[in-house]
Amino acid sequence: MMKRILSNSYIGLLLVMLYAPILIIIIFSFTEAKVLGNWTGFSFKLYTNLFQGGVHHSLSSALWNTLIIGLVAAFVSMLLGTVAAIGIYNLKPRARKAVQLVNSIPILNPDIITAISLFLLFVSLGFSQGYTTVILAHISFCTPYVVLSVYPRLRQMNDNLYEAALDLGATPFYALRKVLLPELRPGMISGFILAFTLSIDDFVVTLFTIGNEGLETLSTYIYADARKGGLTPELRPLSAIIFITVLVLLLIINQRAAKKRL
Amino acid sequence: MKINLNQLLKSSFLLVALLVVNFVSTPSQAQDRQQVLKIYNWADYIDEDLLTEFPVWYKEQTGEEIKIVYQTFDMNEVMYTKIDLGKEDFDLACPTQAVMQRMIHNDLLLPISREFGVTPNYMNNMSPFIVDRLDDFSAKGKNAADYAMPYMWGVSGILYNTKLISDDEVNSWGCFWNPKNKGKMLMKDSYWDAYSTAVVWGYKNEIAQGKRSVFSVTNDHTAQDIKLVEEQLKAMKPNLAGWEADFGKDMMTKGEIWFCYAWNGDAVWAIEEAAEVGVTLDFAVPTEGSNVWFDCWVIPKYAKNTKAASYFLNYLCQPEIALRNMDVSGYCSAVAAPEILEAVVDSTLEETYNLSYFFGPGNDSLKVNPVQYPDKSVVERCAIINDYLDKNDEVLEMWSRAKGDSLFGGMIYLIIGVIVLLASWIVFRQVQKAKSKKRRLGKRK
Amino acid sequence: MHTFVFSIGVALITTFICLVLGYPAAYILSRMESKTAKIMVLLFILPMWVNFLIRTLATVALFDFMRIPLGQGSLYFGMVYNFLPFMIYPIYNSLQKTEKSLIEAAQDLGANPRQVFFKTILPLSIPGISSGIMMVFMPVISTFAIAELLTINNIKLFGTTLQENIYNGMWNYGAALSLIMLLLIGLTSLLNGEGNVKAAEEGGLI
Repeated sequence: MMKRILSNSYIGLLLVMLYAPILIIIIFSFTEAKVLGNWTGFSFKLYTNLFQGGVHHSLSSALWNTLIIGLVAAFVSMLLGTVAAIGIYNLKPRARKAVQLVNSIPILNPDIITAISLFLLFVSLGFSQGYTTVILAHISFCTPYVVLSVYPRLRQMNDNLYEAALDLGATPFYALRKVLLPELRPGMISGFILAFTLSIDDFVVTLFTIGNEGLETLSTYIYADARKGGLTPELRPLSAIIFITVLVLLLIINQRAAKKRL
Repeated sequence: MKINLNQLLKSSFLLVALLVVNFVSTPSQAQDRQQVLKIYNWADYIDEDLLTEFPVWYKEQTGEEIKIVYQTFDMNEVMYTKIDLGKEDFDLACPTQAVMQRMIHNDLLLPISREFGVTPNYMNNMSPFIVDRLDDFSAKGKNAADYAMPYMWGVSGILYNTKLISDDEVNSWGCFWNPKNKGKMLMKDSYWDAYSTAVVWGYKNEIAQGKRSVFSVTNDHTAQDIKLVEEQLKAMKPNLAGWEADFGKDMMTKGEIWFCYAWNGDAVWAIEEAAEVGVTLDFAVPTEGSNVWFDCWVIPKYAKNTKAASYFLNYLCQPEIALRNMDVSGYCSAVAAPEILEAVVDSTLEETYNLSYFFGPGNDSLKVNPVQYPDKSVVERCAIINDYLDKNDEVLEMWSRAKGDSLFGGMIYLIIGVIVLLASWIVFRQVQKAKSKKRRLGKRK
Repeated sequence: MHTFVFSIGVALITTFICLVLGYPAAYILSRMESKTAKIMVLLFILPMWVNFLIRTLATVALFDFMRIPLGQGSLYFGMVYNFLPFMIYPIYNSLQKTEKSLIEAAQDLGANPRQVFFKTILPLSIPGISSGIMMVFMPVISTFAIAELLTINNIKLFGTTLQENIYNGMWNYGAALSLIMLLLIGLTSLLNGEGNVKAAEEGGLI
């Protein structure tokens, strides 16, 4: 019993530490002060300001872009990563180690180096920079994380299941769909979530591959503001909203999973 | 376990290819490039409504359609990189004067045409004060005035909290070197500004005696100058609370910092903001000397729509438009028309300032906000910063030497200890492997 | 050169703190019922969805609030804050996959709880630990924003040097530095890999 209390409070403490800054953001989203840390009275004004905005340099278009880029990049890198993991699994040990090393390069590289090398690559290939290049760049640095998520699941899986399916008369593709993918699904989903998180948070790579069509994601919008005039206060309610939305979604999923189990 | 990868690969490649094709053929690229104007500017540096009003004005003046694509950047270097290496086809960019000089030097600019047909040429509204400064930047047979159009200008100085530090102290750069102020000051994390401050302070005696001018001290970059700057920066470093990039104003409003290096446009904003929370800030330009800067519009080499670009610049020079931009950004426009003069004169102020250098003769006692429009005496002791050109690498090396070096003894032992541990671990594993191999081979025998 | 060595030191300390804090957390999570555990793990990842810059600025505000001056302490806090989820995730998954039968076998064979932990569970979770270390150590060396904001640029990390060099046009220098870094990592992982091939394959991120 004592152990239970101790362990739960330890987790609780960690969570408090993790969420303290976020709590500050949420609290200060209810005040109009420009500087984070000043309190000039309770007000909802920032929330209403959020949903207006100019055509250029607008927060809502930046948010929209971020979401789309994140979802597409995460989805494609999930597919690519799964395929790659399956491929790596089937290699001979030497080749496998080599490919795994190569796979870990984007993870270990400083993001600014990745950003610049991708930028130069796109320039030399003559790609016109914009949406396409940003998504391609994001895919290229998210895929290794997906591989790392899916690969252990492959290792852990029982090889015989696939062979059994083939013996029972399934085509390889059918066996893939019905046997392999369900086994890998947890890994694929966590890979997807990880890739999405990385993509929406990324700044440097996006900055360099964004081209000149006026594309903006949340990160570049925030950094552009921070340099000249201090952080736009509207970002606080935005973060608060994003955060609360995801939290609520999480709780809903939790409830539905509980119901299913019953 | 063999899987038929072919089908899997094929389907995923198909998906990716579809996505790529979809995005590459986006509608905006189908539009005629001559009807698009791509602008690359600092954030919060223009009245955004203008971006929708300009196409209307352009249609009136020339009968052509135009659409504006607006992109922002936060550092000169990023902008320079994108244009130089990325060959981005921006039609307009807004570098600071030193970077503009570098761009002229490296042939990255196109001349700005002044042919406007029936539209009046508003560019003549520019104050001669700024336009004359452009001559300094002419290089390689190109007249800088043909390649750049000044946009906003200002001076650098010290933003300070009137209650926490006295006016006298901030009238000299020496407050940065005074140990009394330790931990209560910020310097900008920019080697341009730090260099010009340190060099002016280092040579303050020579400047006061007239042996060297502020301009020569700031821009000569002799080996001796660079060495002096390094010493001064190292002497200043212990007093600093930090090198700020963009949060100095926040810390000033909270009262944690007594003073910091700032540009006057930022100071105007900061003073207003602080007044709202009851903190009084003010701005001073030290008597030893400082620097004047300006941001200017240029047409980069790879621009495709130079006609609309120069029309846009002409549009910006109209007094009402310039005023709107000044309001939004807080800085001071290079346009010096009578309408602007009217707008900035504030009869509720008490002191008068000499602005004849900017607005023309006869304007030597005007009631304006001295932070936004510095008095003549202030401007006379300021010099323009030129690009370091071939001395750039040297200065940068000096800068990282002066700024860096935060190692301490304990850290070294820690690192050595871990490396030793790791090495011994690896050796241990190798030995283990060799032993088990031997054992296995031994058993077979 | 000094900054590089210093950054390695900072990275080592950060990784160590993350390990010390994260391992117990992952252990406790793996002991919970899978439903609650999943939610808790996601709760740990959730803060990362708030944009990096805002998070860091909020940390600065937090320190202001508590009147603690910024400096080395806040640097470590910020680093750990940002990278702790990256350490918890792999360890949690590695612990979760540990077959319960192995633990039960150890207990049946008469080991007391401490022995069970140190001789069975810990070695089996090493792949997770090495994943976690990889995902924390390298990025810590190369992030510059945290050091910049949480110490007002007083403490210079390698990532800052890299960024400065590249932004100020000395690309060659920056590229060379990062190549050296890459070689170092490649070397250590190759050497490490020789001894740990099988274990590393069973481990991994998730």
